[in-house]
Amino acid sequence: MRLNEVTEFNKRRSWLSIIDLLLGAIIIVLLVVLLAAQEYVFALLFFCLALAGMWVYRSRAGRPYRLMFPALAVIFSFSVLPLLFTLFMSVTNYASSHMNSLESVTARLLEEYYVTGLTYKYQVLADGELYRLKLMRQDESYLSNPFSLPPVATQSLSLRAGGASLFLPEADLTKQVIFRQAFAFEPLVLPTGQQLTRLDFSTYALVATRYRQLNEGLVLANGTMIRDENTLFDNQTEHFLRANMATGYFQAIDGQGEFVGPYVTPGFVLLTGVEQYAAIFTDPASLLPLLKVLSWTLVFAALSLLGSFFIGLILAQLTLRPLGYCGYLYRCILLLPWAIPPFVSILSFKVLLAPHHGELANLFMLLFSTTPDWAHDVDSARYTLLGLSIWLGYPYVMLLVLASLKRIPAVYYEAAAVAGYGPLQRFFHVTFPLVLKPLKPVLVALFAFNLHNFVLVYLFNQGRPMMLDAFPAAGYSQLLLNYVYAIAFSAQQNYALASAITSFGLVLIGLVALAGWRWLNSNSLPAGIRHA
Amino acid sequence: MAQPPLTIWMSAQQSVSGIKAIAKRFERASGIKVIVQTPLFADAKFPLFAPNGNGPDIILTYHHHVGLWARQGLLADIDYSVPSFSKYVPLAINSLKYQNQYYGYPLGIEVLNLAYNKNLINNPPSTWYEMQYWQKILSRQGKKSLVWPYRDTEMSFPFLSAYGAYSFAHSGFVFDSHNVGLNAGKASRGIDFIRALLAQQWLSDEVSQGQIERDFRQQQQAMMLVKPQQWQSLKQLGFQVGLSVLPTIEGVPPKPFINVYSALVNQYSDQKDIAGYFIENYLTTEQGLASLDNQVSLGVPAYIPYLNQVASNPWIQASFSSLKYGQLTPNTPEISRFFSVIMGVWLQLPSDRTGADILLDAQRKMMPAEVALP
Repeated sequence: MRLNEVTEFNKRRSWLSIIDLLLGAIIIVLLVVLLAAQEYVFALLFFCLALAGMWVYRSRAGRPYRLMFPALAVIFSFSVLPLLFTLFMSVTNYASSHMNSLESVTARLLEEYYVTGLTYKYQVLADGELYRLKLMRQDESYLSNPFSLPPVATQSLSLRAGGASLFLPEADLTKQVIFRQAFAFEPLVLPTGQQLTRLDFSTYALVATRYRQLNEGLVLANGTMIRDENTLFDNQTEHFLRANMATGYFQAIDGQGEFVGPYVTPGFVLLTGVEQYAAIFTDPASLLPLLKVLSWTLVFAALSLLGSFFIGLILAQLTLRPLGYCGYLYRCILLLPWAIPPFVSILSFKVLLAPHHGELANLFMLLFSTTPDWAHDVDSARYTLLGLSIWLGYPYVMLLVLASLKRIPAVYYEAAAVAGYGPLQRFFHVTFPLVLKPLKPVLVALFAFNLHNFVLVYLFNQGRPMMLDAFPAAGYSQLLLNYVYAIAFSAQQNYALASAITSFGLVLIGLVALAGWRWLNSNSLPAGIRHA
Repeated sequence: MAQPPLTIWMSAQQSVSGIKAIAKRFERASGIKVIVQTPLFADAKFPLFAPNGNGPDIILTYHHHVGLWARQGLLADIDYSVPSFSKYVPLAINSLKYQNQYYGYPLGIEVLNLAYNKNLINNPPSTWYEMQYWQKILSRQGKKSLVWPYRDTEMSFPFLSAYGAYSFAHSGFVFDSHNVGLNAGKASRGIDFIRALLAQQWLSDEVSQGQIERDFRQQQQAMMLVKPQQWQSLKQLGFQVGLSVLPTIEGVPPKPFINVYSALVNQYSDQKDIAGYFIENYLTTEQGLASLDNQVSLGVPAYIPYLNQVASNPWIQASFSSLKYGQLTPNTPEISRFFSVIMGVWLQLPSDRTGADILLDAQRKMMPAEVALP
């Protein structure tokens, strides 16, 4: 078949080919594996992507999307999904005290046991090459059959009364550890038929499961019947326990079904709706700092973008002058801030700018008889961070500007010169618009990077100075990301609140990004070119 | 089936090599490998890692985490037998009690003390009046008396407590998270007290803990507030250092926080029995605690047989007598909120709000309406 015929054949194909069936089978197998591992989110993601992929690559209707599909799949899995997850977290009570689902908390509670009373001390005794287990409780005493450690296959322990007067040396710890490995996870049966569980290195005890589910249901005083898997009976205290959907903990209930007992740990994850958002918006101690942090984040990103752009542009313009080898050296030096990892340069600046003994701080003192007091003064902290961010950002812009400057045809400048434009006018009417256009996507990327410049603030001053009446604590020079990080990973570890703040911030930043995007797509020709 | 190793998390500032020596002895005796790790922010990581099964079997840290972690279900409760219970100092073992359960084993009791250079001061000041005398004498020689970084809660809060402030009210060893006493008594005068020291340039914004330790080492500063972790380095300074209780203020002794360094067992660990065996038979023994104590001081050891062995040490005696005035750091889950709120108080000292206003505001922040607790 020639190529044309193949295409024709494919066009005519209306039934599922063997390849389709094979791919379908692979998808189903992988799906079952994921479901078996209880990774429901990944299973759903995989299922959606696989189906969409099948449609795009195996059907005629999906053909236009073939080039776009990989990018869309990546965007969905690595940007949209985490975003949805953040949104989901923000409407729960997810915190370090509420980390697991109700089902897994119930399952964990059902595994708990308690000692019902009878405890026996035990010893593993060395009897020559073999070992024996001796169990003692007051005047009772039991002795096991001899066994070897590590045990021969199918060897099991059986106890009989006696051994009270048997004195043998205790086995060393290594052997006791092997004993634990071999026998500790099975119950030990007394001659009376009672089953003992090993608790630690010296105790066996009669234990019972602490909680049981109520299969028969529970009738409250007012006649309602409760029968679900989240109502438990506490065998030890003889209370009824229910999952309290208001607090996210199991609690004991009274005859009326009211929750009266203390919290039973651990708590479970609960949908709380807009509670976290309400907490942010109703408390001025958290809303005002958040707004301050957000506006500073935007201002920081915008100013450091403008700063690095103009400094990069001007420096690039200057290096274009014919300087011979010196020009290369000059450019190399200017690129240095980019070559040093920001991790190192931020920390070195922290040392250099330390008030009173930093070299750079002393230099400022000498030149301007003042030095930025960035640990205590709000404005100094902000200017210093801006300066640092521009320092870290301009070489990148400079490099890109250099590349696009070299591509501006000399004819434009000649035409401009003929039209009587001076150097400054040439810069503003020819160079600037021609450089700006190809740089737009880079500038948007740089803006986005500065919105999230977590490392700079975290390493330099952690957002200090702190706002006085903010709770949770916020700093005047903190970016949104640093603020959220501090909430999520402080002692309280309130992930739900952090997610809510992130979601709120994302909406605002998203609007700004949208504006940037539209600016990027505006395709009107710059004025300079029309003139030329 | 290979025996999985026993993992221990601790801070790198504590006796890591001491623990490693104990771990080696345990390894030789039992054949179980012990891994000692010093992750950064171990205390913050533990609640994140433990529920997923990635946490350590044992974490060595201070007792004030017990309430929060126990409420989150992260800690295994310890069922002490009567003879082993009676081997621990009651204060220490009760600090690990939350809602009638004991979580973990106490190792050492730490309290803030006044260290003084015996070359510069023959008798440590027992009242703030004497402290002012020394400040006058020493500043004439161009030296400093007592300086501390006033933003450090451990060091500054005792001076508020001398005027009546407290974090959470307690009866016995049980703390009431609803009863906060940041503005109790004449606490605002404690703010004025520290502000007066700032105004006199006695304390300052710039001085860091590192600077203070350097001045003390170079005999430019006669006194310093110290925790037991600093004891070993104080002994190697080349001049005689004495330890004493904090000076009284208007006749009232300041109440430093008492912190109990302890070994806590992860509830999610599969080898809680091995962890317990390791702690009971290798860590809280005379030999085990001695090897910890030799690298970084434990303060007053919480294990009575070892305490008896070192009780003649004058520094331990000084520390022991400070315990009388001190106050256990509350182990309620809300203690982290207290620490972040009180931090805001120190930050506001240079502002022109009145002390009473600052404390009232802090008190209000400690009592948010939405925190509903049983």
